Amino acid sequence: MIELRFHRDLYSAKAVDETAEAFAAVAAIERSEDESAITLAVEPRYTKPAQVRRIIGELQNYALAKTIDEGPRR
Amino acid sequence: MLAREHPMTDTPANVKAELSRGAVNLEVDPSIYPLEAVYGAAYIFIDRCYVYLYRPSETSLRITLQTKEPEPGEEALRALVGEFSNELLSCAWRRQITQENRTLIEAVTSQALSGAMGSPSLDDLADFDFSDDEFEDPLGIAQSWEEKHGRKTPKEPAPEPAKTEDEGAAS
Repeated sequence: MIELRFHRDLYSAKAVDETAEAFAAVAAIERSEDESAITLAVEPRYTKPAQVRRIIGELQNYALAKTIDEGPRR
Repeated sequence: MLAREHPMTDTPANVKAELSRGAVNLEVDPSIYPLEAVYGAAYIFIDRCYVYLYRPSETSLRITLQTKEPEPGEEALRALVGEFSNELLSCAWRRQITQENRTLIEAVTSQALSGAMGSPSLDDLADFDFSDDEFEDPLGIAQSWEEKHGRKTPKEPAPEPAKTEDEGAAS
């Protein structure tokens, strides 16, 4: 299981939630949150290291791209 | 690790870079490189790298770049650090220019949009208020050549005074 911490001032909460939803088919994702960040505990459904690396990486990119696409947040 | 202390990374002094396990960690000061600039640079690299942002403290922002290629060489990672630093600087500078010229950009944009709306309709022209007050023109710039230099029309002769009844009777 890999924990990814998405800080609220860097990532939009909506984007992180959409990311978790989009990657539910390829990974088991548990969401938790605190004041400063949303944490996704990701367990990819594929076991090869290259596949795991790709799923985690694409998930990070997806969350970032969605956040940027949403436009200025402050 | 500071770039100056690391002989393998040629990064600006205000960007810390670390190469590890096929990834690059860059740490920048958000007061120098604002978040919008980081977003801009990260977005450009998203097709080549996996990009992850993290905030280790209030005064720093960490960017992790991991190439999509499984095992990049150290040379490739060094190049990545340099390219990202350049892009970061470019985005920060572009943002500053945009902020400084915001008023001008907005004025030009609004003029372009109003011009794109097309010519006014007959109804618009009918409703248009042409009753502007006359402006002052002490030098006669708004006058036509004829008005200013043309032949003066002769003054009409003064009307003869009407004769009284006594004068008429005497003649």
